[in-house]
Amino acid sequence: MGRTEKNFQRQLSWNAKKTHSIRWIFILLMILLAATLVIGVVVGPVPIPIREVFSYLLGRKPAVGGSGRIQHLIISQIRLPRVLLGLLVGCELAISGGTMQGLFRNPLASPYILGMASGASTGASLVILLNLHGVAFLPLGAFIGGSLAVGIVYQLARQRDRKTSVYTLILAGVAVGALFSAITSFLIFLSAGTDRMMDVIFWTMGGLGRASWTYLCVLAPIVAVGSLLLMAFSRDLNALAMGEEGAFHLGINPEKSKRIMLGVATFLTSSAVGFAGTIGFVGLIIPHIMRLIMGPDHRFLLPATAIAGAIFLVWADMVARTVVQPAELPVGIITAFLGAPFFLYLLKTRKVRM
Amino acid sequence: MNITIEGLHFSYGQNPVLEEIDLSIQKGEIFAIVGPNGSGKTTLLKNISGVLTPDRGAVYLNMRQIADLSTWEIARQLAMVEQDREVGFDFTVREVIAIGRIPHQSRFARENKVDKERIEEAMRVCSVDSLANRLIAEISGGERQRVFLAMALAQEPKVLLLDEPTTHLDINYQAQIMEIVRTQAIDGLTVVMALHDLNLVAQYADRAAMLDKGQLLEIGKPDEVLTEANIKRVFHTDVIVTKHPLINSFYVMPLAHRFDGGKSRSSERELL
Repeated sequence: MGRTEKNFQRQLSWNAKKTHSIRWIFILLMILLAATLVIGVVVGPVPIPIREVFSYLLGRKPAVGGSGRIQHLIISQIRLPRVLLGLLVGCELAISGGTMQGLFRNPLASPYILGMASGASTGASLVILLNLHGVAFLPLGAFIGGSLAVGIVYQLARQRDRKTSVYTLILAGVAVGALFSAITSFLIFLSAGTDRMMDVIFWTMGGLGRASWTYLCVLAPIVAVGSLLLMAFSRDLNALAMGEEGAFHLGINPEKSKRIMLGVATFLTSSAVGFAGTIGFVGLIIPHIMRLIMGPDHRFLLPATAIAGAIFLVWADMVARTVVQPAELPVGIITAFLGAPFFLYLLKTRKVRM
Repeated sequence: MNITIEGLHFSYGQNPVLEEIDLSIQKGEIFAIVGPNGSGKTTLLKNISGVLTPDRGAVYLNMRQIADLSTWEIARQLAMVEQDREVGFDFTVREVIAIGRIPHQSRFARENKVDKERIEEAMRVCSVDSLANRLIAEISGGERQRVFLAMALAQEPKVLLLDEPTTHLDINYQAQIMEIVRTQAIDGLTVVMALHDLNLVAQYADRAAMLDKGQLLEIGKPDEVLTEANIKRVFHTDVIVTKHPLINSFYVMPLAHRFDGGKSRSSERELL
């Protein structure tokens, strides 16, 4: 009795704090986001004083003669595009992951769950191995491969009554993913010993090294529109948490909502993969961590997840490009190294929410 | 809101589940559907709720055919508590009940004053206010059922469908649920529920229908439907139906170990 009473009290106060703190979580996230933007530009092999970063961001001309001009060049051509790409990719991976977890009512779902990553890798590998040059080919190949894989999975999972079962989707995702992985491995095997093999392998590990303003101009509108669309469907996710019939009784057409959200999340993920390779863990861990912190209401969870994902990926990338200077680690390694222990820590210490 | 069912047929693939169902349920009525497992109770509820579409015949809510209504329009008039609902993720009790407001909110709306009032009223009616901040996965089955009932009431329905609302519940919780439902029906809510427990039907239902292999065997007041003969025919069980000496209701008591699939052990039955 005493123990349950205490648990109950603790629960109550914790949750009361939670309701008040959602606004503070968002304020904190926005501050972190701004700080990340600046720090991400400062940190790197060539140190850039914060003063110069602000002077660039405020649009001031660098002082004549000093090192300011080179620093502004590094900022505008290397650091800033890379940080911005990190923000965009992190945002879309995390929000897609949050959506997939909501759709499948499973906190272990990731944006790659429907075979997306494997399909994209196959597409990208083909582009690299065929030696197609040009800015657009690699993202396009990955995008086509990824969408193809998800398309096949969705068609396979569709039943006669045009409904899709979650389990069939997941199973078909596993199978199609395995098939595409096999194709990629075969392609790598064919190219064994060539430089291109290393290209493929590095691409598979993911990275933000190819950032450019052209990329950003393409990606930014995709991320903006896609994220807003998913947020618009956040209450459908809340309804779907009651099961598909439960959602129907709340006025949601579960099949239609599912199709739209799957489509948008796939589009977002495949564009992320196209521009930055397959970066793991962001889409799995960030939504999960945010759910532990602020609860499962998707109306708050999805926007918070999007911001947190953006912040996280930029920090992971900062670590990736500084720990073994002058070399760069693939950022996927860092996301796993940073994400997994933190995730386990949360899982152990806070069993309240999942 | 009145419910009218006309000539309803429904089948899963080749197997007919419901045949020739005609029913009319009045506003403010508590209507119970009884019958053995597999007799089509849940399927009938799902046809009324619009989740399933009948092969033939139609369901009308106040003269409007449910097949013509959008999911949205249905949800603003009809709420359903399914059997064994499971909630994904750790929502708190209050969050779950707040989700019941979705049919009355626009896509980007936050909880407004009306929403808050409805949620709090529903929590009070179902006595779950003290659970508001508990996690839905942590509370007992009886509490959870009351939370789902509160969620359905927060939806401000005119028709409430309940599929076995008292299964797995302790006897005190069963009575609690039925009392809440009765109060709501007095206020004009039309309640249709599938019920296992014939004694609850006897005590709480205004009318009942007995389903036997997808067909309506009998419709009427509980004492007209729950007769020894009907129960024997549908459940293949011998029971005694008696007026209870204290309450203004009758009760059904099974006679132990007289189960009979309808074929064997007939000699034993004759002994009775």
